[in-house]
Amino acid sequence: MIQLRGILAYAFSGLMVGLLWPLVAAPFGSFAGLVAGLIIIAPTWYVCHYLGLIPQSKSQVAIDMGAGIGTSLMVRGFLDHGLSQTLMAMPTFLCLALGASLAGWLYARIERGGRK
Amino acid sequence: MTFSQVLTTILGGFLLPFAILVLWGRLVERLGPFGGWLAAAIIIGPIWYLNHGMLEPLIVQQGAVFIDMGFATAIGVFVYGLTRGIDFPSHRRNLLAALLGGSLAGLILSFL
Repeated sequence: MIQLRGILAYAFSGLMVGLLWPLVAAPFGSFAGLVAGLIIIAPTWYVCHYLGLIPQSKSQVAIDMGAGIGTSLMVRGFLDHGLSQTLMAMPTFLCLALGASLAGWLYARIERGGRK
Repeated sequence: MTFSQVLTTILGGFLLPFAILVLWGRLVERLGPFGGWLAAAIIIGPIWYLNHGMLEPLIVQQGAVFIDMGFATAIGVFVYGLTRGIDFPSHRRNLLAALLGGSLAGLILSFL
């Protein structure tokens, strides 16, 4: 049951962004991110992570709801435009993953602190 | 992709998880749920503009499939946990749940 709840929570985060962003945030142009942060991301975060809809604990690595959002948008692109377009987007994804890994690693090193 | 586009994409991927790791947890510790609201506005707002909103955004999109910066958050927090020494098998289920849930949402979005 807990796993099912997690799956539904990730699907919920993907649906919130996929459905509401074009309706609520996109008309604001450059400020779309700010509006979306307040209206879409914050409630989704509150439900998924703060209320604990996604099962997580101190001994587990947290899988952020961003995974659900990113996967849903990519799967939609894959279903709408096919495999070749998805493969064409892979270099972007790899660079993004490289930068993100660097950030996670660097912050963990900073938090641990000092020279051992 | 040119070399500079590769660099800006890496930078775009770096910015969001780093800002979230630095700010989000601390704001929630201090201010409770309101801190999460504040963090969502002050992190997602500017960094979305840099990553996706500008005319020539940091994350350079190729082809029709949109790569969201949400991936960067997930991967960054994930690597942060791994570097802190939390073992990999403990979260395989959540990873699977994220992929399944995301695919389900993508399927629904594609039909709508």
